Amino acid sequence: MTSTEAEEGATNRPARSTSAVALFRLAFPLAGLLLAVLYVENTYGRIRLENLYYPYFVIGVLAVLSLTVFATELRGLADYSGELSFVESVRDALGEWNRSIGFSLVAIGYIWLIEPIGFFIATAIAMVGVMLVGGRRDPLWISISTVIILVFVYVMFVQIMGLRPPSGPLGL
Amino acid sequence: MTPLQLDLISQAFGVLLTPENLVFIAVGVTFGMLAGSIPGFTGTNTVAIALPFTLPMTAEIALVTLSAIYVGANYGGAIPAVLINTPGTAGATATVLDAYPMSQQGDASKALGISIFASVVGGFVSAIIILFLLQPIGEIAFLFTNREIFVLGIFGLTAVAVAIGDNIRKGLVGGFIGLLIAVMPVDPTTGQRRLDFGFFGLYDEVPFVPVVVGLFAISELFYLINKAAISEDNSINTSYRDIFEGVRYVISRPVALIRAMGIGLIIGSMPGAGTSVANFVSWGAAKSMSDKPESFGEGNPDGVIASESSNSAVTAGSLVPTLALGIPGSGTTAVMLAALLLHGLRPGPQLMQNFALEANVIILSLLVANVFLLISALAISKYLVRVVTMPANLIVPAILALTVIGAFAMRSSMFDVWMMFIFGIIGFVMRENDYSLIPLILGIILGPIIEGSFLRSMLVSSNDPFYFFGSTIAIVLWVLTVLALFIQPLSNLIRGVIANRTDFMN
Repeated sequence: MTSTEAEEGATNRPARSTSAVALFRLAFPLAGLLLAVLYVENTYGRIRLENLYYPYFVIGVLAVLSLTVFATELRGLADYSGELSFVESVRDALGEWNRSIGFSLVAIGYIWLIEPIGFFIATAIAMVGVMLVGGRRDPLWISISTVIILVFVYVMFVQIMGLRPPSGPLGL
Repeated sequence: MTPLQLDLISQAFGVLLTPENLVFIAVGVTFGMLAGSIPGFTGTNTVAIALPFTLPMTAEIALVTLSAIYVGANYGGAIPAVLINTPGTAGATATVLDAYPMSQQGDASKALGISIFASVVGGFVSAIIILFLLQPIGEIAFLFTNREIFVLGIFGLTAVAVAIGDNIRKGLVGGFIGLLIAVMPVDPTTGQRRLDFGFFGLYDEVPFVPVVVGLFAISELFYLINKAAISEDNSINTSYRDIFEGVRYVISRPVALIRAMGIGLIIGSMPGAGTSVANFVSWGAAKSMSDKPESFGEGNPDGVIASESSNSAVTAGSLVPTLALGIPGSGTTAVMLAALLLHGLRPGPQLMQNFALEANVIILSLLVANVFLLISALAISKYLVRVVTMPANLIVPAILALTVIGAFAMRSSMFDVWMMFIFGIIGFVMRENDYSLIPLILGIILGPIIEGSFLRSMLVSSNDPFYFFGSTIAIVLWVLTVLALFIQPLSNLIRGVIANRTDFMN
């Protein structure tokens, strides 16, 4: 198995700043707690309390568990010493995951374009974009693969399964 | 076996053995093998991608197809394990230990034959055993009322969080965030809006298909795009004569086969344990009971039997808690739970009461899928290794297009496509921070069932919280929940004390 470029790049890298690592490690439980706060804000006093026993039970347990995760992560970070500044760490992470970020941007553009220009045209553009992000440069190879996959998707999902993806002004 | 059960099985065979179903099983097994052979692309991801495409199918065909994909993907992981030293799925990790050394010694075809036949026999026989167990399980399920279903949901979430990840608290945080997401749509009793952020797509229910596809498939693409090709080693020669020699070897080792199957079935039946645990336990057991333990890891064919037969037995075993209790035995069965819901089958103890026929069809489809697997694997597995050498920059856009149309297909809604992508990012962040995805998805799927049971129990008991401790089954489940929570920290503590004492004595 070939190692990923990300893995190769990750070796011998200077340690990222504590704040950057903390932000990333705490992102998920923090998002959960934020959702919990928004939930309470949106429901308390508006919905009768008997109906909120269960959601608030879930929120209560989640809060306790999240705090223990925070404590464990922060204890781990206390022994961690970063070498890079916050900005350098962000730049380093962007370098490590540049293809994944490129893929995300293409995917966002793709989903955004589906309704205005139609599923098949948007898919063709996205496929070319993802192949370019993935490092493929041969135009013939990109064109042939795009056409093969589009034909497969059309036959399989539109003709056989009868799905009707959004069609743009050209009806594609 | 009672006449009633025999009647149910014959009815299930009647439903299953239609030309249409057989075609879907054949296609499902082949597609599963193909996707399962891509290292890093798990059986869970494969079933997740296929899930939305079963929407136009009837419930029976959809579940049969997904079961066939599950069987195919489970075996598919062995192909690159044998030929290029890379397990296609976590369940094939122990296969690498002996299968690849066999390939290096010029026995690649024999190793392939062993992996195919051990896998097929393991899956087939364990499915028969599970078929016999379905009715007794269904009878136990009759004892579950809303109170027990609520406590069972909490226990299931806890057990899965404990069994799956290294960190119980992270697993539980994921599970409870899943439960919180599940209570975002309208209040089920009053219809009042709770937290839908103004999106109509979240008004009625959380669309779990885009969530499943996003968490498993999209998050995988973030990793896959960084790879040039999964493997560049495509210089493998195999022959059918040697593949059949491997089949004959498996037939000559019935004890090894039965032992591996037993281990797979037991581990598969435990919520959350799955193939990744079973194949190593089985391999370890085979090694410790062997006359030549030193040959394990050096190309011992019994090591391949141990790993492959056990991970196939897990496929059937993991369906026991999934069908009987609504607690998935593996990541793939967590997605199968979503499939049950998608096709109107409410998971949980009542599934065996209300959908006994469908449950029997699912188990029987494993039997038929294993027969197709034998044919299909013998015919094409030696060629499937070429898939592994396909460039990732072709696989990623193809999967992206499939997932987008799949997420859209469910409700013809672009909101669902965005939802899938957002959960793909959430899945990536979770994986990077060692959070298992399974408790989160389980929380989202089981959430409405747990909440419904809670509300009905509160109504019956006039809001008395002690009602949840009012039956023997509920008390046993609470005790099991507490034990599940404390068993790992306790064992860590005991191990720490023993290690300290040993250091001190040395």
